Amino acid sequence: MDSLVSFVLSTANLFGFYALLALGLGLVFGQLGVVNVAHGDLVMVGAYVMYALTPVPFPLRVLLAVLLAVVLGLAAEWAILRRLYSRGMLATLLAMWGLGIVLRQLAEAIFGATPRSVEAPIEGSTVVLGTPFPTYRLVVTGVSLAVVVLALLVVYRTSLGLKLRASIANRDMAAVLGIPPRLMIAGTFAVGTLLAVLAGALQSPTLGLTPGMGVAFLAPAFFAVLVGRLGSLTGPIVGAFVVALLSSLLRRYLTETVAELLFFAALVVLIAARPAGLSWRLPSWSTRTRNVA
Amino acid sequence: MVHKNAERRLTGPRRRLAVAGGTAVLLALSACGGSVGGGGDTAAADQEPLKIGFLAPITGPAAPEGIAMQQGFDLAIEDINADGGVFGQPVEVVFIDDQADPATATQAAQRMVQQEQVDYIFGTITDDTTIAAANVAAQAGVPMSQAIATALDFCSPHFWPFGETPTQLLTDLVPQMVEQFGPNVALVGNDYVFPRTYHEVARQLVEEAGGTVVAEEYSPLGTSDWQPVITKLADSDPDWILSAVVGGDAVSFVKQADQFGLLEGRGLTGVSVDQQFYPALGELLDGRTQTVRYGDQVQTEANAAFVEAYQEAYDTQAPISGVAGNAYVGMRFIAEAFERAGSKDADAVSEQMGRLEYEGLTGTVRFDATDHVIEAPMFLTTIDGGAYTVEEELGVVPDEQTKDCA
Repeated sequence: MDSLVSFVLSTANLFGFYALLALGLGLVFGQLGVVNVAHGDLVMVGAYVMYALTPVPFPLRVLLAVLLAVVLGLAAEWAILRRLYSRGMLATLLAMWGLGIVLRQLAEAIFGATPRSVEAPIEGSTVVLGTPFPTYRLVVTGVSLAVVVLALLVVYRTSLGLKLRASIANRDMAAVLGIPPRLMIAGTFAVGTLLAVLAGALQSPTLGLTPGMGVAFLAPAFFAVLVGRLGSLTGPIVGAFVVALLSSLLRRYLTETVAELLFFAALVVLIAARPAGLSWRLPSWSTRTRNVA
Repeated sequence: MVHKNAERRLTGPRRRLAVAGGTAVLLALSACGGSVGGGGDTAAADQEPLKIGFLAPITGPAAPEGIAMQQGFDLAIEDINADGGVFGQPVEVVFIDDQADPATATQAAQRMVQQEQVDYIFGTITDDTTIAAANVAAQAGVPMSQAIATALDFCSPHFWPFGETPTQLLTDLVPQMVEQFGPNVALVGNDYVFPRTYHEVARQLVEEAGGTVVAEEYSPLGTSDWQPVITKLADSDPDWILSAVVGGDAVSFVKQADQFGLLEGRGLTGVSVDQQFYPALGELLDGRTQTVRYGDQVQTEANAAFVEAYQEAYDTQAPISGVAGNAYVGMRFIAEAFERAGSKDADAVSEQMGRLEYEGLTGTVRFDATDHVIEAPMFLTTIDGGAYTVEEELGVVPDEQTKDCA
């Protein structure tokens, strides 16, 4: 019981983190057709903002990180991606790769390569069904999942979300219908950036901060997007759940290195077997609006 | 990008260092006494400048250690050149970032020996990249050294590792920890050669001290979520934990171990409590015990000058990491060996490497001419508010190895 509770809680924690990452990555891929390989480095940016602004109260710091993310996202889209969409996916992928390197080098130039850390705003543990679990992790899990639910509500239950989905499904047709494509594209990239930076800011108190820390997060997020149906927006979240559960299960019962090997092997097999992503029966409220779109 | 960065490091605040550097050299020389001097003037005067190939992963997962090594190395070169260089000419350096990647390290080493025609290779950090470069160097007959704690089983007449061996690091530390915290030990580390060898040595020492290894866990480099490992360690209920988790992972591991209550009432030591992690881990490390060969608290005149020069050059008050000190001493040692050899011939230099007794920053440094194991005094320290305070001078810790590299 004891270990089951801690297993469920830590899987939920991992799921919340991966879901934020995968949702951002999936949104950007769906709307822009850009494989954002700098996504992990945006997590690093979020974590270092939390470190750099240490004297500022924690929730305010998260807010500042999010604001910075929006500015960074809009600037990167405007300065780098805007001219490259017509050159195809490889051009944007390389550009994002470059952006990732720039961000890492920038972090190193400003903060050095010595690992840094961020103090958790809430210390201590909370007993959940007889099992103590770090309180901060519980809070972060809740916040992450709440943000994911909120994002899904916006996507599937608001007119903004409808426009977003319309623009993803057929941008030209959407533009004809008066949905400004530039705005949708820039806005989506900013939201994708925001989600990654937010994930990094929230997780920062549990991580060792180094300029290269983000690289490790790209693979699970990427797999989460691939496991879900491409272009769908619930897909990455389902994918994040599969990835988090698989990783937790394997690491619980096997040695770490074997677990990692099997983890990636299983995902490769899964994607090879179902290249279109896993097909899930969506709740009717989401398919209803889809048909309208 | 990287090269630009490296250049920036060599200029800027470093210029202002000239005076301090000069002073450091004078102090270092006066402290060196009889062991320095002689040699040099036997050299043929028509020598080309000495060219050192410097390999360091200043990006990638081993960047913290790579940059620390670069900082110590750069100061050594600066001091050597301020002191008239080698063979009366400034030492030249060719720097390549190996990114902690063996393939990159191999290419870099090939470029150094073939195109750049370096006389000596210095670097790198992780053992797999070091072996990759060392193989290239050995084939080309170019001597090489590294500077960080190492479990390398590599042997060549021209390979002189300055890094501490696991035996040197653990021989005094393990019995001390068993006595202080208890017999049950959990071993944890990243999954590559060094942590596994480090723990192999530890396991033997634990058993000799009457203790038991109750858990042994490894996780790949770049692991950020340590919760499953921490759960396994906690289930084994150890008295203390020996951690060979490195890089940014060390900070993630120790922070998460603390958050999950694993460190409550338990000892923690190993590579993860090294100086370079103090800025991030702070009070989580205070009161803990660690063995070091280089520490900024070791009181010698040469070290005082080095610490001052280092703090000014890199504008830092953080504990100076062991690899920075090792790299500084190592490079000065090598320069001295060249001076004594009087030529750039690999055999002549290696002969001097095996013979030289050099007064480093914290004591006399020499190599065993047969097995090439470094012999230099070690120190048992207690971490106290960022100071790795020396509790006991351990002297040279013997590490008898049966290999014959000569």
